[in-house]
Amino acid sequence: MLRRVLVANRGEIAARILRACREMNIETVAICSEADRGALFTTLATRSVCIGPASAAQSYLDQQAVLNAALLTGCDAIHPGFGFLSENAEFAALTRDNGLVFIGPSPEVIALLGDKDAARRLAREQGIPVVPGSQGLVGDAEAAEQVAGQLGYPVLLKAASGGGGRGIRVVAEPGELSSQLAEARAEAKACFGNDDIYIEKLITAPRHIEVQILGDSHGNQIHLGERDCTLQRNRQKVIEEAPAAAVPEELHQRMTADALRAARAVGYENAGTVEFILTPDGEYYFIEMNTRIQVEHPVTEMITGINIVREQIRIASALPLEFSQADVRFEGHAIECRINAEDPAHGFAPCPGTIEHLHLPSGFGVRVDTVAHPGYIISPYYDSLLAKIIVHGRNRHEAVLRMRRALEETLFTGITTNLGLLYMVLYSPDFLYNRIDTGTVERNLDTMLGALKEEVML
Amino acid sequence: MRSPEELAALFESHNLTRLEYEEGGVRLVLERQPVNIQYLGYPAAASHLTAGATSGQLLGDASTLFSDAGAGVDGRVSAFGAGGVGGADGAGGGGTLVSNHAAGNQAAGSPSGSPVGSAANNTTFSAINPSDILVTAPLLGIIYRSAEPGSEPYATVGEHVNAGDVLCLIEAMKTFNQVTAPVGGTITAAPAENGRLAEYGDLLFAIAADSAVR
Repeated sequence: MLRRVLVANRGEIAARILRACREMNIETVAICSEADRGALFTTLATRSVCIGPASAAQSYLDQQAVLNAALLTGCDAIHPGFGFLSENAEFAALTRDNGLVFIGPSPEVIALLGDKDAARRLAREQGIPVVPGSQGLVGDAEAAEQVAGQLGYPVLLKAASGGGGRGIRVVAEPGELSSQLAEARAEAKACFGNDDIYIEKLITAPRHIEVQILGDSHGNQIHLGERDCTLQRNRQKVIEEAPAAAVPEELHQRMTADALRAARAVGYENAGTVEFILTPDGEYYFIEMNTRIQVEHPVTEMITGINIVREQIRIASALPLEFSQADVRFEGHAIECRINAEDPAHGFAPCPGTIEHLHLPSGFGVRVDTVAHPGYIISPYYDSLLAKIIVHGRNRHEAVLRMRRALEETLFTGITTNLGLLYMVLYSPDFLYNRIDTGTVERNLDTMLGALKEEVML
Repeated sequence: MRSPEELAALFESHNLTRLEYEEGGVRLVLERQPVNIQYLGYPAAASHLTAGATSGQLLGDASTLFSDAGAGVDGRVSAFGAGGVGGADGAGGGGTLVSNHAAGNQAAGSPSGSPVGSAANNTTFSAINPSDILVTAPLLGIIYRSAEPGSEPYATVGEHVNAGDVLCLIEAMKTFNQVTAPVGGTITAAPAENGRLAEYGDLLFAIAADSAVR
């Protein structure tokens, strides 16, 4: 078993990993930037070290600084969490080359699946349906126009080095393609260091369904069921559920089988997620595979009873999975709401600030993943995720009632959050009847914000 | 008539537990309440959550936190030998700089967002003149006070240095980074301890600049 783990992340996911390690009697080192000095997550570690200034680029994203911290504090492994360096093949290789264990798949697998175009090719080779699109990267505007013409507009321009909803542009009409392509390339180059673009048909009114994968170093890969992450805003997930009520048993069997096929094709180790688009007609297509633990992993944990972070650490310790696919049971239904420090009434602008008071929900079937506390300073340097409220119920209906109850108990003062908006979604008929797609939140935003104002919740 | 600010300063500087002041129909009472905290596993978290209301050390000597303390870093026997050349100068004596990092932040011009209770480096050293220039660690690494084991330290308390002079080295991943004096002046404090792990932003030296107005 690993002896001392450096957690190369911050906030609630750092706390999640630190807690799992502590339960396993594994020593931990937290790293932090100047802005996070003394933050709650740092106090949960055996020790913490400040490695750089507030800017993420010079702290959490600084590969040398992070590796240095791990080496100087005698760690034998690094857990990258999500975001930051978690899907950086170069960092995974650097970690390995310095004799440390990277808690995740190999650098080669990260690189392969991080190239979203190569991942599509892999899926296609495995006979997994992929979103209709270009056969590889697009060349110049003319070639792009030809592909888009064949697919039929609207189309999506996607950065091959993107992922996680970033580096995507919608092209509604032929006339826009050329300029959008140029902008997409520039943006991709700036954000991901690489301007390769591929094209996908834009599926209308899709659902986003993803399958959790666990693979060990003994050749075993299993799935932990799917999640429904359809409720999004600006391509970022807002509410997630497990299992996907919109996926009947037969579809569940096929999708999880295809997800495993992708994982086995690359000999996937550690935790990963295969993402699909589900059309209103019940067709599904592979989009990408993420080689990290995901924000919404708790909903899977609630329905399976499996501690995914613990499994990640065991797998990284070269231990085999203790359970087989047949041992994995799905009980009930879980929902997660992401509370962000943002202002829905003003374009969801991030709202840094200081929490005066807060009250978090608890009780039967409620789990809260957060490091928020009174006096917590939300700084402008990192993302705005403040807390994840997760509930479990015997079925979706009970989970919805429980989430409503939990949100009603939740209180933050001194800052602005999307709590009221989440509450409105939980009461909307579309959500209750599960008649949702990835555009539902944005389409109904004005109505919900109007209702919130009336309720004096904003 | 004393202002509330003066009274608060008096309260702090004399470390009082209770101060009553009455004048001109106004009565002001300052009282220090001991906070009773029960914690099981995370003393640092408990202090943190009570916004530093507790007294005493928050994080102990880092070398005692790990099970293999002594064999690990930070307190380990460095190539220069334990407590070798140029240990933390100016220890003991004088007053205490309230927060090593807060001062470091101000000197570096970065946002003073250091939360209360973040004084992870409880180094006590001689009172520093507020106008002193603070030199903080630009990266995480092991401090070396001299070029080689046994040779003279680059800089010690009382010594005059010129802008650009090397004050110490910080080793990270086998590369030795020079920490240089940003201004010419006299070293007033040198908490940089040879062989110890410096975190980013830790105070290494304080310099009374030649150009400082006293």
